[in-house]
Amino acid sequence: MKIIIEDIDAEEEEQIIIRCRSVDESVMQLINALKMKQEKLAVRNEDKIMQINPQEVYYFEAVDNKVFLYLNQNVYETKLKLYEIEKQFAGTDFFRVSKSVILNLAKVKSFSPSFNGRFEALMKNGERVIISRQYVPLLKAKLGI
Amino acid sequence: MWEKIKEMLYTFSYVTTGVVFATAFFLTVFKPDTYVSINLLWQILGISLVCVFGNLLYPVNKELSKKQMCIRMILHYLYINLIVLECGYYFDWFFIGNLKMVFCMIVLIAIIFVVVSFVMWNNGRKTSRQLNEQLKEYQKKDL
Repeated sequence: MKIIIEDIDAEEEEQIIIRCRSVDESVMQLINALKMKQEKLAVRNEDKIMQINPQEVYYFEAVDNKVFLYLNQNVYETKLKLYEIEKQFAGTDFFRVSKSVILNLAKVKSFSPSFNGRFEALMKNGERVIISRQYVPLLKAKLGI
Repeated sequence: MWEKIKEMLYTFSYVTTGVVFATAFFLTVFKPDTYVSINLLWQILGISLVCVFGNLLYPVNKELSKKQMCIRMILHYLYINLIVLECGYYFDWFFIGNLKMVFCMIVLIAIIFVVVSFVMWNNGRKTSRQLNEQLKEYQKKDL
């Protein structure tokens, strides 16, 4: 596979063209990775609005009709609804694990069994997130089991 | 729905195995000279089946907090005790006046409950091992 990088003028829009025979899994992964890098999440931090790189997010959680995103140490509120986040990041590392949580699989350290068919994800920052049992088969499929 | 039925069938096989062991132990200790009637086998299967319906206390589509889960586990345990003691009394497995027998029955129920819960948890551990292996592969691909 050839990789071609062209210099462009400052006023020109940057673009990535993928030339391939078919859009297979590896191409989709590449597209999703680019999508993750490109998109920014607008979050509220007290009175300010900040832009967050989605790759920094550990998980999203809906609490009392508000959606929060959890970074390594900070927590911010986002205007997006959980279903919108799920749609926006479909096919990326973000994966819904319960009615109220979407987690970033790239930030999971390990999984362990919890009560009655549920699982727990230990995040790389030490936090624990519950995986509902109805989402376990989907998680297995996502990881290729 | 299919997941729930599958889980109940698994539980049924574990519970039945546990009840057969408990019955063998109980008969050996309290009624060593008894000939086992064919009815006993149906009673074991019937009681195991009714006990398995206790799994419906954990709905698939409803998310439960840890506290709710603990309460349901306690209710599940009480439900099993009620079923086994009630049916055991009805089928003359023990005599209510013989405290030793009743106590042994309660202990056996507790042991089976713990063993079945452990087996289910261990199945989860196997699944989590699989998930962890695949997660590593997944994260490698991501890099």
